[in-house]
Amino acid sequence: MPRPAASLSRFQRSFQAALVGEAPAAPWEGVRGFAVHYGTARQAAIDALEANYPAVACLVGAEWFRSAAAAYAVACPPGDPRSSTYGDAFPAFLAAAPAARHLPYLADVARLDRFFLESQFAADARCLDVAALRALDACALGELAVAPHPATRVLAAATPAFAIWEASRQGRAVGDDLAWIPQVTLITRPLHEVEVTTTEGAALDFLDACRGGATLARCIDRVASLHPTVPADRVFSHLLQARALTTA
Amino acid sequence: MSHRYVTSLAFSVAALVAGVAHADEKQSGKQPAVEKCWGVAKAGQNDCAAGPGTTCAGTAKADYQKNAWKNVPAGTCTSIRTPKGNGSLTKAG
Repeated sequence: MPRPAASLSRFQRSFQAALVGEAPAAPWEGVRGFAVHYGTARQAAIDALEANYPAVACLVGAEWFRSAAAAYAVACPPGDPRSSTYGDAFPAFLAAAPAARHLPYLADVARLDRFFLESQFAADARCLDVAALRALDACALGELAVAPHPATRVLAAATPAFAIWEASRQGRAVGDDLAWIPQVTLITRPLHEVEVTTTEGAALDFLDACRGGATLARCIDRVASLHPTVPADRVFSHLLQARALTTA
Repeated sequence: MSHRYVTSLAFSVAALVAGVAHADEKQSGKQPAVEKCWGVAKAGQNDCAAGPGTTCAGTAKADYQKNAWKNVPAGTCTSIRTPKGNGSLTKAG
């Protein structure tokens, strides 16, 4: 074991590297005190993932999940002391994992768990609501600068991700009546609680159009040109009611 | 900028405002008077996972080392039928 007095930074680097390895390696192997740190750090990472991905855990069961989480903890060890946001690459990890190849919906469900978490911890911002629009005439309305609320997330999945996620989040098995259709999911945080609903693909294009800030007229134009058969004001109305927008 | 859409938007916003305002009134009645309390909800995750009064050393041999995820998962996913059939019973790889 390196002596702390020799070089603190060298000691810390060696300790850190051994802590995130697949197993305690030299010079830490067999050091009893280190085993305590190693086991606790690994357990904490796995527990955090299980807490952060409850729908995935429900789908695959605790044993499979914790085993996958242990592999993830080696591939992507925590880089931040806050365990409540650990696991940002877990959906991509599942998407690439051969062991999950026969579960085509799993990565999408993981993405929804992740977006839920991101929405929960996103910055506060004033939601654009109808009261702010009431006072504006047509011209001012078109020039109104809008942007996605920091807590807004949207997932366009090729799978019925929302239906599977919603049931799993409640600890239920998905019923036989599951319609295998692509679903677009909108995640918002109107007050302090995250809300999750399905939406249409045009909502994703609206949010893309105003990412970073754009005038309302520009967003409406963008949606109308991409989706000529979809009433753009319906899309705007849905985003407004879901509190998905803020003023830029 | 297309004024066509701005104009149509202006017409629809009148209806929109009425509809959303109604929903707002319903919603405003149930606004909870709470404040966010960061850092409390997930307290405990950084605690010694083996619990008080133990040495923690035992957790180094936890069950996750069995590589269970190479097997068929045992959660609720076994009930999901994909277009390719019941996915969880298909052999991986």
